[in-house]
Amino acid sequence: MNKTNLVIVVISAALCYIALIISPYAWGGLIASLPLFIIKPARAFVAGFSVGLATSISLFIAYPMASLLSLASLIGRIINLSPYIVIVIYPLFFAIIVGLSASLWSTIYRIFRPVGG
Amino acid sequence: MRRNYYTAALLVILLLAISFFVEPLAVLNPYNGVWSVTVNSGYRSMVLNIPGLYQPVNITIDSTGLAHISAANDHDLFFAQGFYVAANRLDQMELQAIMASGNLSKYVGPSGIASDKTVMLLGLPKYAYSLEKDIQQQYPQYYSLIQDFSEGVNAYINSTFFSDPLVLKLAGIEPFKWTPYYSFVWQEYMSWTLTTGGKEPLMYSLMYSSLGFNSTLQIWPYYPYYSEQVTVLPGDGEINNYSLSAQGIEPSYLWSLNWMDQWATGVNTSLLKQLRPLLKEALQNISDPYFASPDMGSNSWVIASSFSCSGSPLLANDPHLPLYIPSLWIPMQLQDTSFNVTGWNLVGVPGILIGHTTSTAWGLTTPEGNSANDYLEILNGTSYLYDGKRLPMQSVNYTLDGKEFTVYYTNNGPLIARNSNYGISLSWPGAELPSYDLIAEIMLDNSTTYSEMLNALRFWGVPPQNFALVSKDHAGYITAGRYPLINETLPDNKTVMVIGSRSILNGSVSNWEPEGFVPFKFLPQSEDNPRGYMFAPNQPTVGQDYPYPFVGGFWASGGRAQVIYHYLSAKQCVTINDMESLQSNITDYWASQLTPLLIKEIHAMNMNDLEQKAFTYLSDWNYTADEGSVGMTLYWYITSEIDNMTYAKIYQENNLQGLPLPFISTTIYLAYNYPDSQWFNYNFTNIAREAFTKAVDLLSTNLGDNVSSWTWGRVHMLEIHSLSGLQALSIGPLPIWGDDHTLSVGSTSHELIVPEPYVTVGSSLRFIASPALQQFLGVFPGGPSNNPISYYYSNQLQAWLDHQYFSLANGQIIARWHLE
Repeated sequence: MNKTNLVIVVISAALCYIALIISPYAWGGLIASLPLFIIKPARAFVAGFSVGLATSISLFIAYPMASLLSLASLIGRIINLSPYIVIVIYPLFFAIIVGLSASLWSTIYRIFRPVGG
Repeated sequence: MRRNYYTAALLVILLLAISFFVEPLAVLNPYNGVWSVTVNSGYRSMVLNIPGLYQPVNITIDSTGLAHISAANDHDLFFAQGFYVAANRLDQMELQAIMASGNLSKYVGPSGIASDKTVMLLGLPKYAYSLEKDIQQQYPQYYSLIQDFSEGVNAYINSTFFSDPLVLKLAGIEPFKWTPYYSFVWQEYMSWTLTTGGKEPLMYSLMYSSLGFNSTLQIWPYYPYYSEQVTVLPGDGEINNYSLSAQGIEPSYLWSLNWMDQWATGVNTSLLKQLRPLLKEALQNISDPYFASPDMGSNSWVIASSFSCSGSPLLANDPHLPLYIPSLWIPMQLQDTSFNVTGWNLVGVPGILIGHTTSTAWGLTTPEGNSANDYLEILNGTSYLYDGKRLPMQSVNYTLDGKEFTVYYTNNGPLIARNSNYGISLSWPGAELPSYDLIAEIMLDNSTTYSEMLNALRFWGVPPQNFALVSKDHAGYITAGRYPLINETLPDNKTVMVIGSRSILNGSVSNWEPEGFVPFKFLPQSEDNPRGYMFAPNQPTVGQDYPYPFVGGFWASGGRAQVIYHYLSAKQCVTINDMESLQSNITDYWASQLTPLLIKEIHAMNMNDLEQKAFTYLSDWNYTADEGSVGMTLYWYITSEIDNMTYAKIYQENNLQGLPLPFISTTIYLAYNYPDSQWFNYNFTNIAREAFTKAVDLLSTNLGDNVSSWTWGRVHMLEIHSLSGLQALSIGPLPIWGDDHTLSVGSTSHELIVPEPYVTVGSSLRFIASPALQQFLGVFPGGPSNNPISYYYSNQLQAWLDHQYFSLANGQIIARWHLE
């Protein structure tokens, strides 16, 4: 990864944290992925997915692990899912949205960028 | 280039596909979602900056989950109470307020419509609004405390120290601002739930119109069989030198009359038959399907100084209510320069409803005498007939699920059902006059003597309650509240003021309209009764010579009263340990009376091996309903089969399904005195034998042929529901002791299914107090917290199951909240 890509990944990660904090909905991932348009679509997806997953999962560190697992188990009983899926499902969807939208921005950029650019 | 367009289109489609999941998943957002409740899963010490306090407040929470709130003035005390209750129970408070305000369907959808309709029909929000305005104007000093409580709730809602409760997060509901109205509307709702007289005359009208007077009275006598010795007020019913006899009316004459006849109700019996669909509709319309309120009982008893081994008065109370998790109660102490009260707060309402000060203690049970009455109305369009005149009905419009819904009112109250030109209206003092229960409660919280407690109860309105009272040197009871009086002219032309009716009354004339209430002086009451003890587990309040006959007295069978009476009457004196032991008692008194007769009837029959083994267990049984008892299981299913073969069959033939079946004490009375009764198909021996055979067959089919494994705990289980309706937040099913008639109660219905329907109503708290000894013990089936992953969600449950107690005074401090 070159220096530019590293910088935009870091910016994207920061935007992911902001998106996760200011809105409960995962749509914030659409904005957080914008800086990744520079990267080619396939790589943008991988980068966006990784950044989205890492940032959202990392927020769980703020909670006591035992309580987190008991709550996940309880929610799992309410919605009929395994506790582990309950924990990872939001980060997974958030990561997919960041990944797909990064890929979308990258593709759109490639459609509209100046010829030869 | 074209490939890029396709890729972009594909990505947009994929993102759109994912969009379906984005909204429901918001609740699992790692920052904004439910996870933040894990941070509040235990109590920790905090300093909280709360705008609105005059001076700092300390809340210390002890290891039992009891909060000690210490403030410098009344404003801060009630403010902090509101804050603390909201910090633990905001979701419950708001759900209760929504339900009592008739707004449930807005939150839970169409499943809440029936509940909303009931609440609106009863007019609870309307009455709460009037009550609030009245107290605001008449008693501003008390209103300000209720307002302080509300401000404390809102201070919690506005604070950022805590996460919103899990249930609100899961439902995606933002908490709404609390106002005193919500405390009043919950008070109105609970008052209605505990009111006698709304449903009972409707049920008895149905029975009377089908079965006739003699049969109805045989299975539902005015006073339950065997209840002579066990009234709340010992003696024949005379109160302050006033009685029926003193009015020149012989009690034996009055209680031999047909109180369902036209002379007593103004309603023709043949008309009553035609009105059966209307009666059933009325019954259904006033039963809230969301908040289960089956027949609930409660226990309390007091021991006077003369009968206490220490010479100090004692009190025990355990109110039976629907068991929810979190509980309807939250334990706490409120302390400032004028208050020092500890006990249980009814969540959503300020103050302490059941508890003690340093020198007084009190408890509540329901007396089961009518404080509401049902009236038959003759209607024409939107007018009703009254004393020969057509009067317009008042109306109130509501919008429910987008449709307009109108509630009509006659002079008697809301029209709860209508069928063509007939309607049923409900007269309830809770609607007609402000009920200052909250003022009475706050005055009790501040009481220092027995007479101050009595004075406080002058303010109590609806529902009437048996108040068990003890101070350092006195013990007694008063059945406080408003009992509407009806002026009846007896067949011998004498007149008497009676409480309630046995069936619906004629509302189209003024003859049966309530005329005032039982004067405070003549409410059933006794202080330091010479017998040394009194008890009030829902049995008849007074004897038959009481000056205001409880015609509308729909008492419990008295099984729990019998246990208390026999236990206490065998003692020379009583200790606190005796009080604990009695409150934990799981002996079924009625079983001790019926089982010997069953054994006598069954033993001579031909039995197969399985039946022989079952019979041995039944014969060896000691009448206790512990989880390991096989005899209890057999007794239960035999009596259930008897009910099914006798009363239920006759009810079915008369289209009375769904009405309560007669008490087991009725079966005992009839079996001993009229074994050839029509109810037993003219042969009790055959009924007992057939019931035994069927019960053994049912149990072996469902539990196998190993009779020793037919334990009570396998078929009798407790489930404590979450008021949110979420099964995962509920507790149970857990094997549990007791039955309907044991003091430590474990009520379930007599169904012929294995296991029985779960126990969902029971002792919502247990309280034992002796102000003179400064001993105050308690336990309840839950904990203070609404957080299901917190230890304090159910920290007292096991102790409650094990019949253990916590001291309300000296728990180890686990957290301090300093509010400033």
